[in-house]
Amino acid sequence: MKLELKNIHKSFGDKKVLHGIDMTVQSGRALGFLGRNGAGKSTTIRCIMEVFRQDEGDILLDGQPFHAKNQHVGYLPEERGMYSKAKVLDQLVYFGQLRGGTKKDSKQSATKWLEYFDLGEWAGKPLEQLSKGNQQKVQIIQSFVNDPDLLILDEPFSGLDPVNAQIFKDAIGGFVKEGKLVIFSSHQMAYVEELCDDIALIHEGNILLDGDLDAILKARSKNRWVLEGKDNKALRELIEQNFPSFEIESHEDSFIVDAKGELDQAALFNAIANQGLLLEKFERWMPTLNDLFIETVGGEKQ
Amino acid sequence: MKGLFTVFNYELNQHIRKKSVIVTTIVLALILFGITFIPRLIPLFSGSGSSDADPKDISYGYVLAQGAWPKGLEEAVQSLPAKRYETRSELEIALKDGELKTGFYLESPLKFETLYMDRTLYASADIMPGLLASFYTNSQLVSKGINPEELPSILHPEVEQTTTVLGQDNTSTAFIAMFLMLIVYFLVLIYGIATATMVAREKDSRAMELLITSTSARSLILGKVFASAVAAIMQLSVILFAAFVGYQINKSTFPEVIHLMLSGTLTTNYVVAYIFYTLVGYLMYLFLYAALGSTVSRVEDVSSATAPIQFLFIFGYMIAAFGMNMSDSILFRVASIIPFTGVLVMPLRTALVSVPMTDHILAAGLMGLFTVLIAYLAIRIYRWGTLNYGNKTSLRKVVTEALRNKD
Repeated sequence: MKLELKNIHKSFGDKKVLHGIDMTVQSGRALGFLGRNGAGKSTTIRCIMEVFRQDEGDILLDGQPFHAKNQHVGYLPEERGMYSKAKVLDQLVYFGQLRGGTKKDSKQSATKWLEYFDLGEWAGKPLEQLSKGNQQKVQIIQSFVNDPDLLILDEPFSGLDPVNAQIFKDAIGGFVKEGKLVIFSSHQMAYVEELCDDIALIHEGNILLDGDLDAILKARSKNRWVLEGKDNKALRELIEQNFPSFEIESHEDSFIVDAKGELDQAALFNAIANQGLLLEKFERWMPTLNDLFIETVGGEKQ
Repeated sequence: MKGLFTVFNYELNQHIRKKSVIVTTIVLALILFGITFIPRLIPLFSGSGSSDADPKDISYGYVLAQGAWPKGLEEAVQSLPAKRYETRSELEIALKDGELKTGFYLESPLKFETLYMDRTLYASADIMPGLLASFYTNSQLVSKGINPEELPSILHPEVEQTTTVLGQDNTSTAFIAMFLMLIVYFLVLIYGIATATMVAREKDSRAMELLITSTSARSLILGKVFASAVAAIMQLSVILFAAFVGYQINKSTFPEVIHLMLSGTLTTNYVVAYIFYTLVGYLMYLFLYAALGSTVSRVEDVSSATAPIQFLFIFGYMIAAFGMNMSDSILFRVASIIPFTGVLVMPLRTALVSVPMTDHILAAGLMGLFTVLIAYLAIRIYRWGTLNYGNKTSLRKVVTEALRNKD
């Protein structure tokens, strides 16, 4: 499956929130949807879920207009909420049925996920009796019930402790492996980096980055290299003398060299060998997703 | 359609499983069932009571003043029963000693004085004037050669009469029709608020976004309102069934007037009108309450949001209540045709007067039309209200925006 957002515009009154969003999500590849608060993530997700109708643009699934209610979608909204006084299992079955599942299948599926998240004993209790963290897990479970083909999760990690976050990550990993289409927004870059194959970075209603995460990171590495020698001081002096155009940035045990263009590796290695210096580490510098986020969004801001 | 049934089943289950609903139903059913036993129980308490006002429980004493007394008077006084004392001071001593509660000092056949030691709230000498007057009348009749036993038939001759009511006899129907109208009144107020609260709570708890992305607003509103309606009918049926069983058990002990009232009110015309206007009007109000519940974001705002509709409904109730005495007035007729008041007034009017078929067609048509329109509006407002959290908006603005909204 391929979900495509083409030129999505959305305004609320005079305030324009989305300025032509283009984005593609493939099944079997999790997409991390990133952006600062108010960037337009939830609005985009709500357009996909048809909570709002976009003013302009198309949302297509395999080339056909996408309607969330006609597909088997698991959705976790940013605004969390279920029935506080209703029993946990009852309402999970209810939401499963509303999304097209039978009562029997929904019950089976809900029970399986309650056990998976270690909430089996709470199945017959009203939601309000559960801790906040456990309520968050119930919210996640409602999006998993009945094995959805598409998972759209808005900030799924918020409120989860590290242990539960790991359990959730494993579950998401399972969905991705099964070839499901997964989109989730998050501020927690480490989780996105770990789980996602693709990212889309939205800022002030515009997509600034979109595509394969590794390729984006590699492109952002430019011609920067990490060097670490036996004698870092001598190594740095050698580079400064022989390659004056290079920019050097020192770190604790290493330094990063920006070659400002294609690096002539042979010339660099010859110079080091001629000087009799020992090189212990030489690799392409790759930014973290966090670096990428700050660099992209921060740069835009300036 | 599947979504509608799912919502209906879930909401109905949630409703009828509430402890408060179960307890209220059982208590009300038991109370009504118990009330039907009252006519059977009344004889057990009458005649054996120990009220101070009962003359047989009062110890009387009397003194006859000096002079000639008609024959038979003293026997009549003694039949109270009462004990004779020779002098006024003996009578006073007996009162002071607590032997007596009331004493009579008879000065002549038509003049006496009552004496008490302590006069209590229930102490009464009412028995003596009647006794003396009756004795006097009988004596006079005998002296004129008339048998006193013939007096009642002379004073109150039996007049035979027959009544033919060509239209509706509302002397016997008003009470039962009023009672049945009160049921609708409470039904709408209690379940209306419950429906509005149910919708508002979904916004309050933020469950609305999840619901609206899982099924259509139409399924959600129709499912909830139908569930509320069926829950109310189920609850009412249980309560009325308890009353019916009680009535069947105790039917023979009920006064004839009750049977007449029931058979006079529960005519086919009335029952059909009552069921139709109650069901459709009740649904119409539930849709209104659901729409108003969608306009607020917090449960505590429900009562202020629903206040206008409460006033409208209470206004309808007042017209119905006061209109009973002017059931053929223009106001009563107009109120029975307007859907918002007709839900209460039309069944009552049907019970009280003969309603022309044209009025029924007009009222039923308008009520049906309004119910569909309000249901549509409720769905639009509910959909509009999904993500409109925050400050309360005026009703007019809500309606305009909801109808314009294309989401």
